Amino acid sequence: MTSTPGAQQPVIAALQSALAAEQAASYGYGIVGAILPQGSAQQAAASTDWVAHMRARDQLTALITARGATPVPAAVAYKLPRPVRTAAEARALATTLEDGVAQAYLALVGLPEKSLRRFGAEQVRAAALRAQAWRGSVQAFPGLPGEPSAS
Amino acid sequence: MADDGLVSGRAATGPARRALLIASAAALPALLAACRGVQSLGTPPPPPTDVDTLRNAIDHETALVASYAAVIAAGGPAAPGGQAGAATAAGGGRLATALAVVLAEHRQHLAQLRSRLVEPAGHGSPTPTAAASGSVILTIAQLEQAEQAASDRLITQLAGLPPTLAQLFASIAASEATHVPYLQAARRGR
Repeated sequence: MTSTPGAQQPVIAALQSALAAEQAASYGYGIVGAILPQGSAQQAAASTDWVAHMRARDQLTALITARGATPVPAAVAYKLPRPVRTAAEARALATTLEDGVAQAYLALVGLPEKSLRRFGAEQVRAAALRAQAWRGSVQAFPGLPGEPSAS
Repeated sequence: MADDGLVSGRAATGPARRALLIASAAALPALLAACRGVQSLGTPPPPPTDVDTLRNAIDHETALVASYAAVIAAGGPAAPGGQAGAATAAGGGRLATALAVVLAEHRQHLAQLRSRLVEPAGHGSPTPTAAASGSVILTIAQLEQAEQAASDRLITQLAGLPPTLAQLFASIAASEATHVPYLQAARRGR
């Protein structure tokens, strides 16, 4: 692996995008958890997922720093795609967050670096599993924008 | 190769030598063709590993499609140690629907994988061996195990693949992993 700044640029950009997605997810899950019924199994699940995103965020921060770049800090607040007032809307937000995270990690899989590919793929899978739990259904191509149609 | 033939002919005399030269000349085009044949076989590098990896993924996906098709055709998965279709009574319509949904996704995976395989004519037809293995009716637990194994296998094969193919592998790996909890939920009627 070369370590020239030119070769590292797409790597840093992909890592920063994944970090931004994780920061948005960490923020969003705070809202998801607040809206879901207090003490419910779903709220516990939201809490577990929130921890997973914060852990991933820390991993990405370390990966970016190790490459001599500065992690872009999280925004103070994020604009939600839709208002979130009900439990169903909270679950929909969690699903949207996971889809965004999966897409960001799939960009890492497109990089040549073996360890980042693996890390990205594991994270796409983890996000797809969380999304599956929230939406209760499955997707043929998690993380791929505009799912390719059958045949 | 052709030179060897002419050199060995030098020791012969008279008609015998002429006959040998004619024979050699007659053999020459064939020899050249043979050489060219060897050359044309040798020139392209052995199939790149990513083509092998892709073919392997297509074979495994084909086997998964066959497994689900066989289970659905039998009216449901085999009960553990029991006969085909026995497990549907427990899962009911929910399980039948889930099996159809998962099969449809595997068909989409297979179509996408096949579309990435560029091979000379005569290759690339569906693999009958992999399809044949699906004729065994699996239990729902075996289907779940096959999904997890398929997901894990794809994730270990990413290194060295072209970027977009690696992304397709990772996406399919994620999809197949989600089939496990999805089938489990259907099995329990949730």
